[in-house]
Amino acid sequence: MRPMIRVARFTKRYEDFLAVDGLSFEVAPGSILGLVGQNGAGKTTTLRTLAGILSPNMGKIEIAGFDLVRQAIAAKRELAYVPDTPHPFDMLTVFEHLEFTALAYEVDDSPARFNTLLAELELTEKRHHLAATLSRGMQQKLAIACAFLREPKALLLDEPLTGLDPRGIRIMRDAIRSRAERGAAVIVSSHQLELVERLCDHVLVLHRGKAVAQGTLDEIRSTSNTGPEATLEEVFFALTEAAEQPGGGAP
Amino acid sequence: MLYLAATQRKNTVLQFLRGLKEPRRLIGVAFWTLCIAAFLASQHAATAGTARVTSTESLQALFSILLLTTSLNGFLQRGLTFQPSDVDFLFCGPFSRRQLVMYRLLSVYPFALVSSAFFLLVLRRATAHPGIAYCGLVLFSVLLVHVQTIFGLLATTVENRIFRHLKTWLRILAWGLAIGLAFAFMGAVTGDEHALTTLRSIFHGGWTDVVLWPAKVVARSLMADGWSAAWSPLLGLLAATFVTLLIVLALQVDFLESSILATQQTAALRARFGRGVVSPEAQPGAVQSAFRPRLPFFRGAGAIAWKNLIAVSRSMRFLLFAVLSMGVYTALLIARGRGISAGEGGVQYDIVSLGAMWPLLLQQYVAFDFRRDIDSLAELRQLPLRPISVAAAEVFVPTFLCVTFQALGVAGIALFESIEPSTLLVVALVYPATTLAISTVSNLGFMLFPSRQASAARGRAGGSSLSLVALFNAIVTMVSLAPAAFVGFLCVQFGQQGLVAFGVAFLVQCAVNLLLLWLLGRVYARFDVARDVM
Repeated sequence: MRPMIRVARFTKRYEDFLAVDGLSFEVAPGSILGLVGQNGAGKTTTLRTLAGILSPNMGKIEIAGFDLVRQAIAAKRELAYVPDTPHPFDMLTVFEHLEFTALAYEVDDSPARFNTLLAELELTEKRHHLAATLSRGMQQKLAIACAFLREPKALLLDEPLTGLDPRGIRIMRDAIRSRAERGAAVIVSSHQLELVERLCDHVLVLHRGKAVAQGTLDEIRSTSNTGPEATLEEVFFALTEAAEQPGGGAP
Repeated sequence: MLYLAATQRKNTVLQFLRGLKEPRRLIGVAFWTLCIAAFLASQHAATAGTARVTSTESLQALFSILLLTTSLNGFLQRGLTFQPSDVDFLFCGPFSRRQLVMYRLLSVYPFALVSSAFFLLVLRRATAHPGIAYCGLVLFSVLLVHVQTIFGLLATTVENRIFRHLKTWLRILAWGLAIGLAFAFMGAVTGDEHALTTLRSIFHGGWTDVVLWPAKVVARSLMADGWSAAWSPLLGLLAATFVTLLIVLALQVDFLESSILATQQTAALRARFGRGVVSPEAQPGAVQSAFRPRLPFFRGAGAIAWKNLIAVSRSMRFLLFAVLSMGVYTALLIARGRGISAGEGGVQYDIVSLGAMWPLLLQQYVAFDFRRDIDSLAELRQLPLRPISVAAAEVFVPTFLCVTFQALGVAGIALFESIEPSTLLVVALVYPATTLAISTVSNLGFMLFPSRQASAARGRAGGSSLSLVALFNAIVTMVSLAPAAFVGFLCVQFGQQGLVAFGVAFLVQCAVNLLLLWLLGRVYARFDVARDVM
């Protein structure tokens, strides 16, 4: 199957700091890739670059077959990105955010569709409240509602469950899974390794801007030599500690 | 707490001095210093060999308005404003309310010393003896701090429902006083007695002598020629300062809850001011959501303009206040001046130039553009839109608002002065073109100085960054308007009629505006939104 997201030798540098170094991976339609790594590993930089917010210094990124640098607008139409800290427009209501997204992406969705989405994410009661007055969790849900509105082919979620209550986490997990079942390629960045283990079918472990392992959980278990019963947490520590050793790197 | 207050002040000063190593801040500080020096030099040149320029009554009017405005602000603030960190660390600490109030006062007293020095510089022409004047001003400033604190504390005892009701009317009164204060200052600084005559009659005699007694006393201290004449007003002020301090400390009011809110609101206001945006805060509760517009203009990049127009509709009351005060100010200026005469080609240049200045003065009130969206740039950047389209959509609303206000202003002038058709044609060409240039340059200035939004993110105004942006905006605005002015001038020199010259200049300005928008789009596309998160 043709991958929906294709990243080849992607490198991003901030002045003299190398944030991501030669990263390559692919995500197929219907697949959920978990992006894990310590703080500063390069997860957010990777997702922001895939979303077209940052420019790569080197490498090639394709979204639904469109080159993100040369065909930026066509590529952006196919993807949706939810940042770790959403910054909604303070003077717009929840409903107006959906209207704004529909207008900006030129999506002709009826308000009935908005209502379904708001109900799915339990935002109906807050639909006429200004975004600035919402709690952190509600703002997170709003950002996700805007992302889901367009049924994107590539979905990039940076810490999507931060600030959500247990019920919100379950709703969100189900919503992400259902989008993947409908054919979207999903990348989820998270520090919650248990969640990644339960939600994702592929995992990419980043360490200091480099991929130290990628594949299904079974594949990275064998890479890390932690045994078939090892949890993602055990695999993660084994891989990152090995990478810290002199001469360490991707096993 | 004494240690904390002293350390914070010391660190602020050290931070400021260390910051001077940064070239941008140094330029900003140098710019301000030069401005003050130029102002003082012009004052000195104007007063050489002349007597003092204003009377005790005029100064009394000025200080009376200051006293009233401060009292009103204290009441409207409701509670005391602290630093957000003070709320986190001190409110739950083992400190009495009286100690917290004292801590707050100690934090503000140094500002009283600085503001008094500023007043002394501004009112130099009105003072007889700088040393006495400074003592009087310091005591008066401290008194103002106490009065503001008293009113802030008293406001916390007012029931929420009544306070909300009172707030609107008191705000209108505060705006009126602020306009009066501007005129009083102008009169006191320039020595123009016309500006002060009305105010003087209001604040002289009767009940005002009792209620506004401190204002009268400080005015007398400023006019005192020597210490022998000054001791009585200075002693009076000192006594008033002590009495008000005792009242502050004696008030047994639970101010913590109100102060948390006041602190948050002030921090948010400072953050917005740091971004060059003056606007109200979003209020909790449900509001009427706007429905999707039918015009195709609002699809794609136009959605950004639609979003900003919604923000305008929710800030309308605030915006009208700003425009009203600007309108009153302009109307008074016109009323004080002579009739508006027609120049070459029947064009009334006074009207053209007066209206063209408005966008510069209104810029921070109409900042429904990148300046408001700076936190959401990452969200905007992922939209499938070309940078120049985003830039054009962002500057649409401030330009549209300013042009609307300019049109209203011209209509207002037309009620009192006859306006030539050629003038109307010229303003129809000049206003949109120059306003678009001014709005684009304001956004460019904001986007090119990230230190400004960094300081805004910390809840500070970033004074030197602000001044640097102001300097940048002034220079780039002049540069962006110069080609059109030059071409228009050339046309006139080559014998073209005034209207033809304006038409050619308009076309040149349109080309410059396109270039500015392209530049703004480039800056937006390259703006560093993610250096802090990796």
